[in-house]
Amino acid sequence: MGTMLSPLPWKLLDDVSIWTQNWSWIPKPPKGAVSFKYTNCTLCGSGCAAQVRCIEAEPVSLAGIRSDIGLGFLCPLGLVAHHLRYHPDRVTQPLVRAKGDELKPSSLDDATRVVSGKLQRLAQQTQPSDSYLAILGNRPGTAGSDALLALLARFPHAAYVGCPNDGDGVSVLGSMVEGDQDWALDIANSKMVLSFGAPLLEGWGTSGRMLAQFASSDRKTRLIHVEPNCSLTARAADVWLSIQPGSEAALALGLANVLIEAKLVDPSATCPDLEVDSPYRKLVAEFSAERVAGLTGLKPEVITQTARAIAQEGPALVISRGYVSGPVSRAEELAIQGLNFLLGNLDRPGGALARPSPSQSQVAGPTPASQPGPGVVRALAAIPDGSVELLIVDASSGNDLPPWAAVQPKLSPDQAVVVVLAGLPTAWAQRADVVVPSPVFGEAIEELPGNVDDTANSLRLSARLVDPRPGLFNLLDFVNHTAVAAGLATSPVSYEDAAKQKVAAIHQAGIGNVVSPADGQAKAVTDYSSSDELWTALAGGARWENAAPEAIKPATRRFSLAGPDSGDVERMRKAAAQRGGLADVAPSEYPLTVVSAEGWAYDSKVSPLLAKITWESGLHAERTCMINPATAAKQGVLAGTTVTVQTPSGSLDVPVTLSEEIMPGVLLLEDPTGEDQSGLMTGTDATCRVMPGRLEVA
Amino acid sequence: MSDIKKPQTKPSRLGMVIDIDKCNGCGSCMVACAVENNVPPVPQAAGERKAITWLKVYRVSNGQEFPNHRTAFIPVSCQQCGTHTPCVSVCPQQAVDVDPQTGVVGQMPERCLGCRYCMAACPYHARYFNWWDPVWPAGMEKALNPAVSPRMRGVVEKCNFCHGRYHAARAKAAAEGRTELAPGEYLPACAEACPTGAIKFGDLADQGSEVSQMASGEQAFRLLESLGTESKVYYLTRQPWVRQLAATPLKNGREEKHG
Amino acid sequence: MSCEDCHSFREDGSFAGIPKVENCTGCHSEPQGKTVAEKVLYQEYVSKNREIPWLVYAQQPENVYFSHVQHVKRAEIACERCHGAHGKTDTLRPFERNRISGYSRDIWGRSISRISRASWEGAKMDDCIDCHAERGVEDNCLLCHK
Repeated sequence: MGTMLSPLPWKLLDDVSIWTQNWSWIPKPPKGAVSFKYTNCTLCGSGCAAQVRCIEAEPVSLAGIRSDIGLGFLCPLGLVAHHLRYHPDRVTQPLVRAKGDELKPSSLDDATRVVSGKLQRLAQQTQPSDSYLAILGNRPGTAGSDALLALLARFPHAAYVGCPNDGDGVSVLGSMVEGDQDWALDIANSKMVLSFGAPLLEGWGTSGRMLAQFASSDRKTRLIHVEPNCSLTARAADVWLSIQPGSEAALALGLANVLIEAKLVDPSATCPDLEVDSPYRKLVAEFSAERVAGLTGLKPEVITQTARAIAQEGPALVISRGYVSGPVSRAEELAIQGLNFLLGNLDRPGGALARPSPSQSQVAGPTPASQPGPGVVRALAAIPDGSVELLIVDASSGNDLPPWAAVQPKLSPDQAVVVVLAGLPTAWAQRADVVVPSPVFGEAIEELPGNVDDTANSLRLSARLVDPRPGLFNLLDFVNHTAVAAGLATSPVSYEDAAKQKVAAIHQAGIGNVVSPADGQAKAVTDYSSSDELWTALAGGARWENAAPEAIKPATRRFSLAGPDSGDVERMRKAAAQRGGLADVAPSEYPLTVVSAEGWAYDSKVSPLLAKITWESGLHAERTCMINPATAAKQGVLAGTTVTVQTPSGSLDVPVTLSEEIMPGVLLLEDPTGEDQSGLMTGTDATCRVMPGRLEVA
Repeated sequence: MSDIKKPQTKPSRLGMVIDIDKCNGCGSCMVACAVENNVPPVPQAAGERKAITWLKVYRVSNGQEFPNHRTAFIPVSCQQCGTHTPCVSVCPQQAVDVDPQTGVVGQMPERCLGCRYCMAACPYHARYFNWWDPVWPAGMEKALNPAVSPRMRGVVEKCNFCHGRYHAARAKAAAEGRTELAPGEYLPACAEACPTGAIKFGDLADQGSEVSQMASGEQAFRLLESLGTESKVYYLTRQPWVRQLAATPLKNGREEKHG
Repeated sequence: MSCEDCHSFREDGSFAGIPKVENCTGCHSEPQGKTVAEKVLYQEYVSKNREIPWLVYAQQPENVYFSHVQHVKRAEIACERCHGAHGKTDTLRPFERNRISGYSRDIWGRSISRISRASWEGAKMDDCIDCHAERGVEDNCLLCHK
């Protein structure tokens, strides 16, 4: 009783309650000084600028930078980029697969031996052998890729295929005119945009700028969006044209038809070399509004009104998806880009602007010694089937790669060795014979090329924020390492040195400005006393830009569809009339249409926190097949059921999500050609975005 | 004590205005919130009911069929109720209280005993329970934010308008000899991350601030306004069907998925 | 020397706390005097560039947020008021750890009854609340907790 009156039990109680609050098994975040570093994100092609908040040396969070051209946007992936290096499944050492066996941890020496042996063989081969060395590169147009091209020139048969990106449609535009230029879309200054499925609000181009320009309903640029389903972009558009999947080419030709017939454009002014009786004009004449209405499912007057709008309220800049979920269908792209010619969109503000390509530019261009060799093939389609004996794939960063199903026919059936550089065990890494660990975000300097909507010449680097573990290789450094082992090179220029040389060339030419990420202030290149100082600024996340590069602007532009048909016009006719091949298929066998999703594709495996926006909230679907409820009912399928989706080229088991945003009869698949690698979407004419399909309950 | 200085900070009413028409459902706000506040990942087998999303973007629809179906995205965090805070009135531990200085409803997980009465009381389902201890992949604990302390299992947590950032902003102001925070000096992670500017944050008591002007506009409304919680998170929309939805509890989504 | 020479504030208002050994090396890169303590400092820590494993009298739990800048710069409270005349002693008082709670004995204070203590004896939450109440300062929970 007396004890109760003493402090003893109360202090005991207090001490015990404090003890219960010592949650020793709960991590205590390390304390320290806060500092800010700057970098650019590498997790996709957008390369958004980021401010990194660090505690001592450890990055703990990222935020966007409002003064950057991306206007401060960082997508959910970018916000957790600093988690990547702790990913539990990280590739930390080389893996080698013995024939017929599985991938096993190995050593750099083993991996080097395998690859350098192949390199030697391929370099020394003589006629009539035509075995290819093929590289699927992640960022064409950088100093590293230029150095790689120079190395490839030593091989009798070599291919360098750049990763697909949003600008692939614009590359087709570039192929339709003379000259070796890059083309950029001046969307920021467009009064109107006609988008054929381009996911402008779902991570396209410079994502932050697109979101800022198009997300609000009181925007200055009108948006007409063509897409079967009601995507996030369709929802935000001023006009949403819901067409039948695969009928993009038909609609494009129909609009061209109305533009010409109704005299909404003057082809003699916009395309002076386009003859009245040319095959292209004849093709356009075949696709009247009525015919196209039947093919697309739109009313004829909607087609006419749209043509009127794009001519009179703009002229509208016509944008296609570019690659988002499959290689570009050239026939479809030609039809779409033809509209840009008719509307006179080339070489004008708000339209498509030509930039000097890196090889022509007086700055930021490769030095003469590293000019790409003439024999290096640049397109996947140009590689003969079964000819690739060594394939090196850069799967290190977030960019998409061509689907395995498109690449596999190119591999030699029995001699091929596939080498994949990866930081995480992606689906491509599972297919490899040799896996080489590569750095992830923040561990190494990486050069990021500009986006399709960036009309300036620009250079940005992703910074080295943390010390990387040893033994990591980027693409160029690994190829150099194995080339040296094969005796094909003595002291090749490393990736970082190649980038430094590029920066030195910029400094020497004295052109452009450097925008500081900390305060958004621009400083002329001429104010940097040495190229080392310029390099330090860029390696610290700053952006170099030449805002008004000397554009290539000849008096006239020769339009490749203007004259006799080289086969393109016929292919366009087929693509439009047969809805990309869908019309060939018996509806009884394949009653549905499979399309692949174009928008945000989040993989919650990248960081545990990405689950917040996928399954923890149901905000974004992941690995699912989305289907209209009426169609689901007809097929006898409930939400959450796992179904087998089949197309003529493959099949995939996937759970179903019901959504009224999907057109009846359509199955929308999330990223089917990426991680799933099911070969589901491999069609003819490299069209991998629309396939006939059917489903069965699995 | 008379010689001790007492510079007082002016009281404020911190609030948010979220423009639903600008929200495009990207989810950056949700992830930025999780990174800033060390929100733990949850085992997938447990399902959405046991997930922890301090800020949750709800996808709502107008209920029509294709092609007239339209969605809207409504980010919902703790609505920072004003006059009648349901959670504060039911908590047996006083583990949550309203700050008279800022109006923020502050949750203290270290005091919480985990009865979850507040979760039942909250009409916005904005409170989340830690069913498990946090488990981060090996090494990732080094990348946690030291401004917010991680919670153990058995406690409830919710949005506090990024108190870690509030602390840092006030410390900076004190270092510079100021007692007041400049507008925009302190921004929760969600407002900072939003790419379209849909989430605006500020002092509702300051007549000149953007949020106070937007909140008193015609398009502004609050969720479940008829309950009288006087919440400090306002929403804007020009779409009547969204406004109607916000007035009543949702038929699917929220009610079904939460306990 | 003043307290702030080593226990300094950073520009953003955060408190550097107990400094790293490089701070000591700033002056003691070579032995300055003849004391045993300094010899140990030099031999064991400065020359090996090893961090000193300090025991912190004022250590608070993880969920406590104490802002030194608010109390030192804004409220102008002297360091001695909470920490005692630490810097004026030749030797430090022994660090006694409470076996149950795990924190320093100084948090409760030497007097178990907590009657007639000096201002620096005791750093429990009650002590903070009492001082805030006396001066009429904000005392909202999230002000001091994180």
